[in-house]
Amino acid sequence: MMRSIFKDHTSFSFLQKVFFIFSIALFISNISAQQNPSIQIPQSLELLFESYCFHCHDEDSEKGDLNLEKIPMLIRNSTDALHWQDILDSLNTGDMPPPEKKQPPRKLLMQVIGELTDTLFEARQKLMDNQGLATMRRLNKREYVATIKNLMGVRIDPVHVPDDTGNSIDTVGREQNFYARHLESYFELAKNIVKMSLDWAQQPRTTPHKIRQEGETGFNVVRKTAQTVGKLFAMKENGKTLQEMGLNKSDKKLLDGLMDGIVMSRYEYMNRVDPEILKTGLLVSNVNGVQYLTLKFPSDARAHYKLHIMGGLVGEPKIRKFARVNMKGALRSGTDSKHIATVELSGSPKAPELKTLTYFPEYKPGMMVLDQHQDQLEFREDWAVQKPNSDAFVAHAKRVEPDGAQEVIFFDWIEVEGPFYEPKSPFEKLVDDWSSFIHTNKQHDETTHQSKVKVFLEKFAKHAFRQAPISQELIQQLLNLYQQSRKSGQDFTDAIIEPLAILLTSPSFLYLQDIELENPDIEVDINFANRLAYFLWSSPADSQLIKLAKQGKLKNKQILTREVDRMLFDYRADNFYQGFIEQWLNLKRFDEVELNLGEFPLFSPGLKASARKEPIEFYKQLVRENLGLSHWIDSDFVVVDGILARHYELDHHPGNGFQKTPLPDKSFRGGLMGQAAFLMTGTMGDRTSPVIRGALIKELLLNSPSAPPPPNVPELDVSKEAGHFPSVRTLVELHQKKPQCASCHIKMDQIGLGMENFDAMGMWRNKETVIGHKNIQVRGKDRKQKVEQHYPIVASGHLNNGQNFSDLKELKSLLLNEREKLATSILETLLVYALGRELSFLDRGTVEQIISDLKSPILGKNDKHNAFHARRMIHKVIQSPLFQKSVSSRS
Amino acid sequence: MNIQTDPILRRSILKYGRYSMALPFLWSHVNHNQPLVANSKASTKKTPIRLLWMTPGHGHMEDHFYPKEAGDLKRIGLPSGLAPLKKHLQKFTMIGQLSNNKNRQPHDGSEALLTCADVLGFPGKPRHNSVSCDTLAAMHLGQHTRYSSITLNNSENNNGHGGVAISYKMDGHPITGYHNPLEVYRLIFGGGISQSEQLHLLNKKKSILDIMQVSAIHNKAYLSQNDRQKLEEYFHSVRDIELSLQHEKKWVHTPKPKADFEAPSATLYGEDEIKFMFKMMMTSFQTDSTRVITYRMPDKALLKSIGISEVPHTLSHYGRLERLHDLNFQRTTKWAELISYLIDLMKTTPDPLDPEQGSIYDNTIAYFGGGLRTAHQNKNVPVILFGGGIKNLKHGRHRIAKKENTPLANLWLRMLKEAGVPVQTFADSTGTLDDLLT
Repeated sequence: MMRSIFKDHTSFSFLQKVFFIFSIALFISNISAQQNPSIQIPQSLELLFESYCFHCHDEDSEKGDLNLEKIPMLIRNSTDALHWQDILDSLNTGDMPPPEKKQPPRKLLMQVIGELTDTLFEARQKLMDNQGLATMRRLNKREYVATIKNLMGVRIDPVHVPDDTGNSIDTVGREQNFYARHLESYFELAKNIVKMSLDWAQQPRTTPHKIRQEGETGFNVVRKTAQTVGKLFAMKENGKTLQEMGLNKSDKKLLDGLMDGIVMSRYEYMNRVDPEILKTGLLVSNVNGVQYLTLKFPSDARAHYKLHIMGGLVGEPKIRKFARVNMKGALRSGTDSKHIATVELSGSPKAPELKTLTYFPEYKPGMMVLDQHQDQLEFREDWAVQKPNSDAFVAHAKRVEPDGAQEVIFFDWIEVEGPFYEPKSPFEKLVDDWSSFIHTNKQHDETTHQSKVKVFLEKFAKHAFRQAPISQELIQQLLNLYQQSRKSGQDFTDAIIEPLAILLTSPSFLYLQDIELENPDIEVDINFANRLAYFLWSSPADSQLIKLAKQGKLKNKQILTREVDRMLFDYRADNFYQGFIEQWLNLKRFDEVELNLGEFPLFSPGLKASARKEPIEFYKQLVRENLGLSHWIDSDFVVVDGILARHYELDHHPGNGFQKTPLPDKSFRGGLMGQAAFLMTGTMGDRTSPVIRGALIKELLLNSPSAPPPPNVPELDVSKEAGHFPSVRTLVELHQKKPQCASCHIKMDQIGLGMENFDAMGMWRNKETVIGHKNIQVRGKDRKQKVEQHYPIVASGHLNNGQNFSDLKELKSLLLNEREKLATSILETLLVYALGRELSFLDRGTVEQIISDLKSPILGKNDKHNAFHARRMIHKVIQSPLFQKSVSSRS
Repeated sequence: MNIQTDPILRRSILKYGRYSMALPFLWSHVNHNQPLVANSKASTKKTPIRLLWMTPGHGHMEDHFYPKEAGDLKRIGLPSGLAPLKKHLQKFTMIGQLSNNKNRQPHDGSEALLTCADVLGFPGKPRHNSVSCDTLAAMHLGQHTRYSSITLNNSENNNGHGGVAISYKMDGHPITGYHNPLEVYRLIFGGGISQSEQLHLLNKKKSILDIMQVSAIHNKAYLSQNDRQKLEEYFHSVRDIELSLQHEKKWVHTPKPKADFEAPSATLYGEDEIKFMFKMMMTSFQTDSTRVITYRMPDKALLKSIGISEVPHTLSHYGRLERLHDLNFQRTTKWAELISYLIDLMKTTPDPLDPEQGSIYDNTIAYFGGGLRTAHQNKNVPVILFGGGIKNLKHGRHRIAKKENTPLANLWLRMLKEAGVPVQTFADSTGTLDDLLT
């Protein structure tokens, strides 16, 4: 340990050294203090025991072998914790005190359960404390994909990478497992990646060009069959026989089939739509007729593209303004077409307008140059394609747009522009350098051949292992394997696959670890550079960072600040914005949300994708502008695209993707509590869930996560009291009648009720409509009749500290007073994400220090959010000794 | 070595168990265990009992699944969601009042189901599990079969199961098994290559593993103590695969059975996927490829394939929502339909190992249930037992254990004993349900 201490701080400033030594001292003294972490059991328990439990469970009676007098009122270890967990369980299930005995008053029971739950929750965390040590971790999915792109030059679909396990942030090594199954999956994956990358690396790069699909020609084939069928149909209508139609008897079935199928609907389509429009483009609708326009183009696994859509709308639809782009074809993953983007169209068929978006294709590992034509993009309307969901949408659209045409989405043309490349990856450069050898490898004599391959392997390993050294023994064994394959007749490009795949499966690649170099000064900085790059890019350090590290300049505060800013504005930082926010907000939970389209016809794949992206884009905006994090509580702007602007009833410049959009003065929409993804996560079975919403706000904005729900709490039958079609508020309030429920729920539900003005899909409402069915008799038969009940929204509630609010606006101002808690919530998650470990009690000082530093306003900024600046927090994390010191102290 | 008493058993299992369990290996498709007792010829005489454990994770609504009282199912009638099982009324047994008492998890339907362990625990470490009963069964029943057990899984997240597997090795590591029907097909029937090719491939794999080991050893040299421990997982994986390669080498001269049906398409999903897995189970038993199977069933995919877009967890919070009640009913009915289909399949699949020409049904003990009763209740869990493997058990009844929360481990112990596995206790077991299952 001593060695690494001295090595680590060689480049630190004097103050840092002092701080560092101080923190070591603190560390050691804390360890001894931590050996017996003991947590006091709340006093309310003693009160309860005294009056309601000791009667049976004291030293004399010891019913059920339980003597509560003997149990220490402390949690020092897991045995204590388990005892208290048992006690909590029997209180929760209502088993104790037994029904025939005297029962504690509701208020006391609530207090006891609530306090004991929190105490045990805290004890659990304390007992799990990692004493500030990080465990080496394996690349998570996001990092694996980014690292491969960086190293090999190809972009693969993350679904093929082994799943991240664990219940924590995906950078936490302690939570990760590694089994034989992982090893084999990583090796199979690596073989495919090597094969693919080798193939693409030898393919020359193409100059960007455009491939256009005109709407009117996209329809040609369809048009012909439709016309033919149309003619036949007309002849049949006029009573012509099969013979007169020029058909055989056997064609009758075929003809009948065509008559009521898609071809017929296209015939009708052609009769329905304005032929002038079809001369210049194509109208599509999800209902029938023509549903989409397809664009085929050779796609390059190394590149990204721009998609241009020249389109317009027929009439002025209020909701049917969105085109969706799907990836279809053999190279996508899974059987469904994959959602790429949703674009708001504007203009008209006569005056179409251009929309442009960037497209980063993700491919099945193993996609070869030959496969590049197997993919295609599909452009269509954005809402459910299948019945009965499409029917619900159509019915809804008819209500909102009574005069709307059946087809409103017009494509003049669609175009792909590209390929656009990033600078060549180390592997691509290596293959370039070896290209003449690769072409002539069979002609070389054995010694030259061997040495060439050896150097190739060494160079590759250096990049794959992120500058870590590689042993000669390993290289020799890889060479042997290579030779074996060559002897069986394979040439370089085949024989090299397995050796390279082994390197990509070895711990030095799969695990992020501190490396050891000959020169310890450089070593510390290189490790730091990689750690930094994995934090902000989920990728290895680029050449600039490596260069600065080798020059020993990276830890210079000015240079570091400049570099971090550069990184945060780089496209690779999207990995951070997404990886961090989706875990802070637990967006995986949002992914599971499915609303019933019968009730929520606007819940489309496009809306869901945009809603998921909104908080990520919002945070990116806060970081890039270095705005106060309290914008998460309330904000006078949102960062939305067209489909969210429609959802939030805002004016928005259509078609330009996500942009900062100011909110009208009295809008409630600003901040997390107005974001659709958050609000939709806070639903249960198509109704709002103040429970989930409140629990999330308590955790995210007040930094007070709730203990997980206990099992076996008896179901509450509220049917009698609740009436037939109760409002959500009524149900929540009845739920709180039972002390076992109220003990925890009152803390979350009361906050959640403040958001009742947003319905299950996150749309604004002034009343809650409850739809149910009641049984009625129609001519002696039982029938179900639909009933709609309306309740005005009451959005009042209170915080746990007793402060009341009457609506969302007041709730927000209460939360703003506590914005330090929000900042701590983000900071702590950020630290876990950056350090790759859960926070220890030893880190409390650092957290408090950073929070206190961040309180100060920035000169020149002049708004109510002038503290806890988003970018500043990231800088502070990176500058903190926790992040700067080695991930794991070596022995 | 004859194992009779519990302590010896535990010790020998630990001794063998440490390195004996192997995870499935894509290259070799091998699941193997070290035998629990030395090879004996005794087991060839009687028809072997096959064990089958299946769970969809989440439970069912009271009215749809659970009979109101104990007794003859014919008399008390089947709950509404089990209607599809009506034609097999005399072919299955339901049991009430069994609980997985150590299990505290209200959300994870199968993580602790077959281990009866306290997965959450409190001992200051992340989730941990212990050995599952099928692993014990595999160690004994797997001596003469190519695979000591076959573990079927699903690949979905948030599927109501919790964890990543229902089968666990001696050290509590999950056996994630197979979730792809095509993989299972190849596992049983092989990939159509010759013996010498296969040997060549095995040797090649061995040398690749050796290099991986070298790379890990080299890497270990410059890691901290803490990280070296983490790297042990890597070494462990390499060793696991090595053992399964050795095992496969032993079997390389025994040809795999010939397939009499075609390989499944890659798009098999939900209901079709489950039905195909049932078919593979039958084939596995029939060809004596294994005698122990577990199946962590894809509930989420099943729902999707029958047009329900809600995930299992959403359905479990049915509360008073009629619409969700209806979807739950559809779900339970579909599962009952599938179990009914499986019973048909078992009855019509002849058992070649049975001298009396019985069917697979006659010689199997099959369990369908889970660790959650309804919503987030984990007491009094659902149990359906079928197959003729439990001696003298008369099917067609709903049996309720006398004591509330009788350990579920008692049922596992009973199943193990019926199959001839020499164990005396399992997890928190207190008996073998002798008064209940007669």
